[in-house]
Amino acid sequence: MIYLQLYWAFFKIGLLGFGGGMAIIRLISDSIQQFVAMTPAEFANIVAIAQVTPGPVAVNTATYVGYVSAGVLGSAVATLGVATPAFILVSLACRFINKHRENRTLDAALRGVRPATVGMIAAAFITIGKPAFLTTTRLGSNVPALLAVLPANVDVIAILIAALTVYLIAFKKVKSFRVLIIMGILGAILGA
Amino acid sequence: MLLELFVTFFKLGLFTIGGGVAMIPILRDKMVNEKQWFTDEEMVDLFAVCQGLPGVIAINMATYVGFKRRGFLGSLVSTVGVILPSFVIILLIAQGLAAIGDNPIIMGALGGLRAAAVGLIIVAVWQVARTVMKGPVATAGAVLSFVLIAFLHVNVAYVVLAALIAGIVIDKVRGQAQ
Repeated sequence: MIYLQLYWAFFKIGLLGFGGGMAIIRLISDSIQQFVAMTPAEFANIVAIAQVTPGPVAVNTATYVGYVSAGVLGSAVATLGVATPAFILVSLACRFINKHRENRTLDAALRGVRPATVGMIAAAFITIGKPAFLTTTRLGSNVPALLAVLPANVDVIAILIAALTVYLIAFKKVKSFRVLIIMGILGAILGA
Repeated sequence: MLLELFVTFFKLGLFTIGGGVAMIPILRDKMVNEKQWFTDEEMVDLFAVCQGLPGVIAINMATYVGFKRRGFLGSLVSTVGVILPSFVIILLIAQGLAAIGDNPIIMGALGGLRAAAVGLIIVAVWQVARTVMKGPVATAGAVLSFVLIAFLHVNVAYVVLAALIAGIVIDKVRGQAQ
């Protein structure tokens, strides 16, 4: 029963994948061989697509691998599998925190974890920023004259778009969805 | 309310490339400023719990917000909302219906969104750091966890566990000192 196997495999991945995105993708790459014959290069392609398409990278990868293994139902099962542990654990954590809000040890533990949150987000900047900025497939292919004067293995336009995003959201208080739409349109005009 | 949750998370899933962490400033914007469902401090706890637990961070956040607002049903609706765009887009690509790799306009739009996601993450670092890093101990903890995860490639689970224990130990030491 491939669907049950897929669900269980992705359930385990959701349960053991600490740190989100890339950690989960490593787990997926370790466990897909039982479902579908895929070379490391083929898997790398899937991950590359998952990273440039909207949505959480881990969900995108799970959907893709599920589809390749067992069609549309396979992708539904894989995605549900990776989501289920999160669902259970987070609901339990919410309930626990609500119930013991006044507990001193829980409060102290949470105070310990909060600074680590900053570290985790800053680390994500490196994981996501590196492939977006240091790439030879740069933005701006619709304007070859511009690309000719810019360095070849750094995406200067991507860096400018990121900087503009920070400026608009943090300093100009423009709504983030609006900024995203602007940057999407800007990218479409410039081409890639 | 349920529809509001669904729409919010559907938009998050549709517009953020790069996953959960890039969603942080948008989610904060929506939850703290626009809808006023959470305070800044509550948002930091949300991020701490969602990053500390295993699983896809975006799904963790959707479940957390949904659960806090409308219990089980709320978390279900939010999670489906954040997953649905991914699901549909990936299925289209996997079936070869969209040859996106060859289209400079679509690739450009995606590239623009991806670059913006990096900007969002910078905003997220700043927003969360501003709320959390009050005092030398918290600042040291933030810097140390960053170095451990980003440069020494220590598993996030161990960093979270160490931070949990450090929080409890520091509290005990301070309690005795008083």
